Amino acid sequence: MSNGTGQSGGAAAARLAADAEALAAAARAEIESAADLDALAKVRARYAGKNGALKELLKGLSGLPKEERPAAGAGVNRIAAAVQDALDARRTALEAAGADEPDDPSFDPTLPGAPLPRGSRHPVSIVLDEMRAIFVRMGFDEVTGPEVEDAWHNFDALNIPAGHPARERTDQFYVEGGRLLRSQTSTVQVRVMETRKPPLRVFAPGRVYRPETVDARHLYAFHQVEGLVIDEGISLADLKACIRTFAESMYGSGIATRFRPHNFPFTEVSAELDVSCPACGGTPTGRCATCGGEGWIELGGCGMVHPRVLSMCGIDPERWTGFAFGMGVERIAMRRWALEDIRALEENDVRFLSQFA
Amino acid sequence: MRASISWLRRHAELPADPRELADRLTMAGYVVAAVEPCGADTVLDVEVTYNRPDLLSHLGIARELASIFGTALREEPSDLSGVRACADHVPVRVEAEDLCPLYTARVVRGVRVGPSPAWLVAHLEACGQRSVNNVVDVTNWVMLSTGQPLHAFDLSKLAGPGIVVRRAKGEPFTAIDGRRLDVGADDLAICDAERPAALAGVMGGRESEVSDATTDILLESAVFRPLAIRATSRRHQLRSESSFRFERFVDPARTVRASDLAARMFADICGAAAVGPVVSAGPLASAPSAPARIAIRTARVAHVLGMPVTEERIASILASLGLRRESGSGGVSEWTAPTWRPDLAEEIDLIEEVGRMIGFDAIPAERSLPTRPLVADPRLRGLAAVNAALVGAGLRECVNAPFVGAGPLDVALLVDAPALRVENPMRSEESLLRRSLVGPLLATARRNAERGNESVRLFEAAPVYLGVGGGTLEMRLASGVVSGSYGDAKACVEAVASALGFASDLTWERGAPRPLRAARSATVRFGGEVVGVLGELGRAAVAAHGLAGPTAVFELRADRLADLARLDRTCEPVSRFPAVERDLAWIVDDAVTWARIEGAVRRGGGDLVRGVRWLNEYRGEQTGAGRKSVALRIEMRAPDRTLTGPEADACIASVLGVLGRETGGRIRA
Ligand SMILES: [Zn+2]
Repeated sequence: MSNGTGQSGGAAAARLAADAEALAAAARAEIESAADLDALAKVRARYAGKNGALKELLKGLSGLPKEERPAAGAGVNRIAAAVQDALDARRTALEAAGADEPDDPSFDPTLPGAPLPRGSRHPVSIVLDEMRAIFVRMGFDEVTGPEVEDAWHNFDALNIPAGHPARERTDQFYVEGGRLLRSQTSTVQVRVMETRKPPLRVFAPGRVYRPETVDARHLYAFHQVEGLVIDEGISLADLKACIRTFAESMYGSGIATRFRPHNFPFTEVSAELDVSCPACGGTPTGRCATCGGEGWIELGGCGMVHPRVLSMCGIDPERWTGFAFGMGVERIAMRRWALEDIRALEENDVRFLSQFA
Repeated sequence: MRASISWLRRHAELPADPRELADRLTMAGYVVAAVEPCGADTVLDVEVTYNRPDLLSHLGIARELASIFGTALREEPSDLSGVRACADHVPVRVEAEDLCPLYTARVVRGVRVGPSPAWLVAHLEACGQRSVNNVVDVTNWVMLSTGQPLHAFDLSKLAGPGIVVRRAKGEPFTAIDGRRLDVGADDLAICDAERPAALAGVMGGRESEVSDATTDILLESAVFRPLAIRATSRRHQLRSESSFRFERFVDPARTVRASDLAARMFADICGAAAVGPVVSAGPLASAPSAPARIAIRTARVAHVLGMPVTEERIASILASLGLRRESGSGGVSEWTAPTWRPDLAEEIDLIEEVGRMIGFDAIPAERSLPTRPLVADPRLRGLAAVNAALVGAGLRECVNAPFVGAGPLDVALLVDAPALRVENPMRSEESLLRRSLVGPLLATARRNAERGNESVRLFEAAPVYLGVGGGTLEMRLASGVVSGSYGDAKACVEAVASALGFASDLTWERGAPRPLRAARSATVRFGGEVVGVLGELGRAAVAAHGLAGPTAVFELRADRLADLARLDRTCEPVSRFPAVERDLAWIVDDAVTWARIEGAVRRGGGDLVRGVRWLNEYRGEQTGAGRKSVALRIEMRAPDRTLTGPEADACIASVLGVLGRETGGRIRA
């Protein structure tokens, strides 16, 4: 670099200032046109970096007369600071626009999420919970009873006297000591009637046991929901209304209910309870897998509590009348999820269970 | 019961469409499972309920249909006018009066055994029966017509002088089907002078069977007690159309009539030369039972059915079903039930008949039960909270069968009382009721492992059963099996405790029963009461149960936890003032538990200590053998002000003092 060669000091300072302004103008233009943070970083390096153009410009100060240097330096620094501000402002704007990161081709948005143990209710519990919610809305108290029962609650009090074929070993699981695994949740009815005074409105969900040969349609341990209403003036019309309310709550208001007379020892008038097929709407075209083309599916059994059952539980059948009903939970679950083999409900294969949450 | 429509038409005028018959029978309570063409005929497969033994006959089903359609019922003519009578008879004695209320026998002479006429064969085939010969076919036809089983003996094969109805006494007996049986005192036998000639109501004997050579027969028409027949039929695994009917009910008032009908047919079809008189024995032979009177109140019908029914309608329905009106006035009428309807015994039975014939469809369904306050049972709420907590902890609920065999799956973790034995299990490996949910859960984990589902987090909430003091103890548990370690199981238990509102009330003592590892298990108490156990399975148990890898289990007294649950607890406001956190490392003997350290910190720091967190443990040079350094973080906070540095320092000084006294450790420099 030449030194003291007669250049005018004032002219040199003015040129320096002009260069700085020109540089700043170029920098601002590039800053404004920087499309992303990467491009902005390059602009920053070119102008404001360690070896950037503005730094280079400051080196020119050494060629100025000593007394002019502070003023010229302050001018260049002001311009440099303005460029710095423009860079920062542009970065903020780009960041706000979401351009904080360049696209990363190695990022795979379809990879599975971080592992999180996922729990689930068993399908039988899901159906039970739904039924529970409906009965609670209808003003039924939930009650429970033991699964290992005595003959009184499973048979005698339900009007199934000694010698009745339902008491045979082919139809019951007997447990040592003359007890048995209850074969119906009606046992809970008896226990409630023995311990509470009417009016009663209860439902009893629970497991029951019958020595059936296991196949795609049968388990020998399965679930029922039993209902019992006892009050003054309760009639078959109340039973029909109650079941209709339940069925419409469970399957929707389009569902129809049908009552077929039947025979159960502990109810008289007794009926089997059908609802119109929820799959085909009761008008099957061809062979409906859900109802087998019948248009109806069996939901359970029901009836007016036999006066003898009331008497045995210490309730005056002249004053109080009532109805009871029972429904199978597994069958409802099977239809609900189009499950063809009931045994899946007892196998508890994780691949099966994980479909329920 | 398979019913031939052309046969039913012998008894009543019926609509032409078999589908209509099927639908109306179904809606009257007797499901027609199938409507099948059978040659020119159509057969209805009717499901007959246990209370209607009278429907096990064409007459019975026709009577029901006649009542439904309001048409007249015709019976088969059974008068013996024009049939040559003879005086021949065989004396009959009933020894076992408790098992045989009525026994009748009559001699029929000069039958010509041969093929049956085509109409008879067709009737039997429609009902699924094979034609044997005209004599046997007549007895079967009369049974299917009237419901009264009959039996024909070859009179020449019976050893005189008469028939005795008695319990067998350990005698050999060869049934018609050729099976040789030992019949004993539990079996009722129809015997000649020497030996059983038939197993009463179940099956005839081969030796007195009617054959082509038979000319004279002894016709039995009798009533046997259902229990006796059922016991014999089960014991010898012999079932027949006869035993099926005797096991239910056979109308003793029509026993002789059936005998007459058969005798008439022996004359018409088998060319019988002469028919002897009926000889009767048994308690009902001398004193037929009188039918009971049943009163029905018109108002009660409306009360039970929920709709008014006129007295006239009630009367016409009951009359159409064969009941006889005995008297009636002022809204009450008295009726006697027909002898073939043992199910009609009291007023409610008649009300049901009225409802059935009106049709349940006609009963209104527009009523609704009044609303009522309903307070959820706290136990059930608690149980639901346990389930929800376990699902929230990422466990999948299982429903297992409650049976286990004697062996490794018969686990007892919470109460060591004997398992209850199932007397008639489906399989020998299901002979006990589970005492713990863990056994079946381990079986489920194994099944999953075998199918490649190696890592499991499973729970079940259900009762278990124990034999205690001659009675049964039934407890509701919630138990889980999780792949992993003690800590994985403990996290599940903590989730439950937190949901029930007593996370800090549980105490954890080392050790739990096998198959849990003593050194990696704990017994959980609430107050002094054991409410759960948890721990890791040992390596041997993991292998024995066929599990895929390290496995931990827990078992909780869900019933007790539910009772103890604080579901309606109040909440605490969150302090708006900042907390001061201090970390420290405390060197103590290995035997000093975290619970003791945490307790000492809380006692030492008082109300200012709002949280004590375990950070990590270190064992090594700096601690020396048998000792550990526990790093912990203490969170201090005042509810009403920002804590100052000196206050926090004073709190920590107090913590260190109590820690030193209670745990005997020192601070790690
Ligand atoms: Zn359908």
